Amino acid sequence: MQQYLEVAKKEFLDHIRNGWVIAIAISFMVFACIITLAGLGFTGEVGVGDNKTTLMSLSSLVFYLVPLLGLLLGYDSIAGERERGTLDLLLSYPISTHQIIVGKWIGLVCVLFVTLFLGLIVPTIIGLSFGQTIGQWFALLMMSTWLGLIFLTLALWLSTYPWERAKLLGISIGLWLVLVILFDVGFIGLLVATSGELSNTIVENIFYINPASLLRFLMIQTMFDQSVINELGLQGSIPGVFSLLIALLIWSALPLVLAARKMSRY
Amino acid sequence: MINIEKLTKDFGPFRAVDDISFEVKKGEVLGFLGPNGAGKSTTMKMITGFITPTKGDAKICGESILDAPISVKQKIGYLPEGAPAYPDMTPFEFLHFIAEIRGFTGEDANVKVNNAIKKVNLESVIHKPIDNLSKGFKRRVGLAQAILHDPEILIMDEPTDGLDPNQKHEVRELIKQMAKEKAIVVSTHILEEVHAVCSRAIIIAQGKILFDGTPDELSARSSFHNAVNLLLETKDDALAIEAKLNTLSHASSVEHAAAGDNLIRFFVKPKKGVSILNDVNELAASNHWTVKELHVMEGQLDEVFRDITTSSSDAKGVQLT
Ligand SMILES: Nc1ncnc2c1ncn2[C@@H]1O[C@H](COP(=O)(O)OP(=O)(O)O)[C@@H](O)[C@H]1O
Ligand SMILES: [Mg+2]
Repeated sequence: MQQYLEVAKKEFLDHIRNGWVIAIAISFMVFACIITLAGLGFTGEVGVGDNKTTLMSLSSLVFYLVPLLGLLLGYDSIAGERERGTLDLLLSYPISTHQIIVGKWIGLVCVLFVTLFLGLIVPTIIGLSFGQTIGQWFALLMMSTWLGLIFLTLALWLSTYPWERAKLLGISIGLWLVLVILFDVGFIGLLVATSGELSNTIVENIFYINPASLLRFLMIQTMFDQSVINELGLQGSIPGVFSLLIALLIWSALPLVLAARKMSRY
Repeated sequence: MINIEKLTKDFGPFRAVDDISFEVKKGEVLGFLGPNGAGKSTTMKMITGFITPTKGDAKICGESILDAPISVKQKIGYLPEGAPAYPDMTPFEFLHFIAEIRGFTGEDANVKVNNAIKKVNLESVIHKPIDNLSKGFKRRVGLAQAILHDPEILIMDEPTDGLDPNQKHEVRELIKQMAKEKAIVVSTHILEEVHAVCSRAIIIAQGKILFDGTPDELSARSSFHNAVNLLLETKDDALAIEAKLNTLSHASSVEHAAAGDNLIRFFVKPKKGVSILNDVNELAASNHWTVKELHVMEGQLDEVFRDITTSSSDAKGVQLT
């Protein structure tokens, strides 16, 4: 147990020391504040701020940026140590490979949580002072962390492969482009190309291959009411909360298991 | 304490380490010599757990690295090539991290860290980021991490590489100090290191062991072993002097080289097993030569090294064609 925590602590402190947390938290906070204020401004009426608009813009920001943060946080985690030679050192200590992987993972998840917490705290205070509920903001924080966690875990798994960092960075950014930016466009393209003849089973299940979509559905399902879903034209095509949770748990755990396995066979 | 049994490592089709076996006992310092790319680091990485062997095993105090990796790693201290460390940490933080990883806590961890710091004289820099330290101090941080738990086995990959002569001397002294209670393996491509610290030497090239013996046995392989090095100040013809030296009954051959203004150096190689110093000395006296230097050579290690390691690549070349 001590080893898990020690590895986690080191990973966490590394990111505090090298300024990652501060730099990312501040940039995130600036974006989030702009969106919050803009969102509140939309309604025109200060004090009766439109929760939905602000939260929806903020969750878009989260949806696009947080997966990238997760990937950037994770891809370097093992690869960087390999390149610096410290992985050689770490593996010569009486500590198992899954202690290294899981320890690092815990540390990185904490980095992610603290960064997002700091990034969202100011917009939260602004939002609250305009009469919004703390529950929704908390849900946003937790779901952002979960979204980042999934991509972080994917990148951690990639990081265990003996590839160069530049290659891993390329793959990570590619993954972000495909899953976060292009997936929706591709999906719509698919619908158009098949002129709506795609079977319902495919349409309903294609989202399971993309953890970003799954998490966005979970956000929509839990943070907004039915009217938003209707506005987005998504009624009927969103998987239920329960299956979303199961799918997301698998997406969170599987890469970690794969990473630990890959490490032990190094 | 260290028993290497037929260790082999393939990287794809390339065999980096080829069926290596050796043993190291307590009190021994084994010099692991070989040209770059010989497979020294790969062998060490297999012993210390970074790389899994393709074939073979290593037993540390009777325990296999394959069957009991954790227990084996408790007994080994390892300094990887280039002494890697976390650049943002200070030596103090780094050593504490390692103490905790090794399972020491509280006062126990403090004592271990402090002892290691004292042993390698790190006191003056323990709170500076490792990144800002000089090469010599970085190497000491690496050494401190390797000896933190006072291991029975120490494995050091090129511990003096890239250091200045004083720093090299310090590291060697440290190794010698620790030699008595431990079994130590030191890899190097610096031959002088062998006589300076090692009680035994193994030479490998292209993954194979080509020599295993004491440093003296290694020197004895040199054709310059027991040769006499004679430096003369003379205006005479070098070949004439060489001819005179060749008349000595115990000389097998003589070589010479210009060594500056009116200076000529001669190497007089003796026949096997005889000493030739007195003969040379008497000849010099009877000819009234101005002798600037006269001494017996141990043997030129780089000659032996080149001899051993290149003959193997010739052999390989023959195999391939
Ligand atoms: N991870 C690896 N993948 C492929 N080849 C490797 C790897 N590590 C080492 N090698 C090759 O194995 C050989 C031995 O390398 P190494 O053990 O580092 O030699 P040394 O330490 O004696 O200089 C070299 O030819 C090197 O290129
Ligand atoms: Mg090497």
